[in-house]
Amino acid sequence: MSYWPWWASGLALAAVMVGNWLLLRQMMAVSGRYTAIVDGLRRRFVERAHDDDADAEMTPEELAEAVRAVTVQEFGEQAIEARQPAVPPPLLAPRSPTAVHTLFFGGLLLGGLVSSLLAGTWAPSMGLHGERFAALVRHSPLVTPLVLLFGGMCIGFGTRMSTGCTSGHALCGVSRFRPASILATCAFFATGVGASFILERLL
Amino acid sequence: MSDEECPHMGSCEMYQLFSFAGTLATWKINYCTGEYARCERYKRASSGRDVPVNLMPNGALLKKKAAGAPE
Amino acid sequence: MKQRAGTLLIGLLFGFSLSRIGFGSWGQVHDMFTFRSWRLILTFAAAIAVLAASWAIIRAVSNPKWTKRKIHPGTLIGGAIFGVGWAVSGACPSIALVQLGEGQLGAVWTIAGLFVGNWLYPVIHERFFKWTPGTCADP
Repeated sequence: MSYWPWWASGLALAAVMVGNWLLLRQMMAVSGRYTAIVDGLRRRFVERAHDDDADAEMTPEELAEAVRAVTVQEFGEQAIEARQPAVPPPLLAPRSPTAVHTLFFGGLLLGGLVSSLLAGTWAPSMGLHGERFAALVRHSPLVTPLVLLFGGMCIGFGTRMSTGCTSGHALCGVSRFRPASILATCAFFATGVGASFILERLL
Repeated sequence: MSDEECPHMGSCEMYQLFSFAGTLATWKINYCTGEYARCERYKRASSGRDVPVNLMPNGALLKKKAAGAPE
Repeated sequence: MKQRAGTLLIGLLFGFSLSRIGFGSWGQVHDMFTFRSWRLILTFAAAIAVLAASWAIIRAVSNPKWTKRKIHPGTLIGGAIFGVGWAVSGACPSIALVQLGEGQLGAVWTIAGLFVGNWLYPVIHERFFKWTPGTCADP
């Protein structure tokens, strides 16, 4: 595949981030989607909670009633003001259901599929493409899963710990000059570089 | 107890709700200032877990049927 | 409904772009991290520059509600751990799926590890870490 030049690549990434905001009113955050799926599973199977994010979707009247009920239960009737506010309360926006996150992941996968099919570079491999990776795992079908599992765990653990990944921090965070994102981006680039030079010795 | 404010205030969806009507100030007084560490939302968030958007500080969940706090 | 269609579309465009940019290639990522090639680094720089201008315009024109993220110990340490994972697997949370789409089935392991790592984090945090991420909103 002949890759896009840097300026077109940069433009494309920016366009996707901005498009995401304009279309979905969300800042691109991919690691957060993994978190949402994991937490949804944890809530369903470990905590055995049967509540649903759909429960949070209420009309202003339903919300006012739900809040009233819980307030009375906690503080008693005397906590409720007789006069009701004229304007309805701000609604609680339910978090996206797992299905939406899955759609996003499916889209990513499809995007890779379409791109590689059109470029003629689609090829099934039990590991990753390329000679360098094959050299790293010593062409071994046993080493491949171990290396990638380890890498994946570092990604999953690290992105949840820093609450963000490349799109969230490096792209959307740094471009808005957020100190947390700048720090996180410096951190993962530094170790990315460091780790790569170490891996270089193993290739 | 000090009148320290909960550090999560700025991004808490419930806090936005509590700032809305006079009634709900009770929640703010009891959970968001002073002993904010007993707020269920704070407890979950501090341990890296997710916080359901309809979770109240006392652990109750806001539900459409408004039958009160489920166990 | 519109959210689902939009989400799928953005995912598709993002995945396609990542593939064409070369982020799906372990070799390309390795070249970036070892400074053999500056193409991907320049890509980031260009994207960040265009984004900075775009957010400035959006902020001027509308009043977007962007959550604030505080710095906490996890910011640095988590970032550092992520970087190692990226170097080793050539992927980040989105790229792993793109790799899969390109036929690089090893990415299944990367994704599995991703879920396991993500699952493990709150367990470890609850046991050993004393700080708060500073927000109860979406991680």
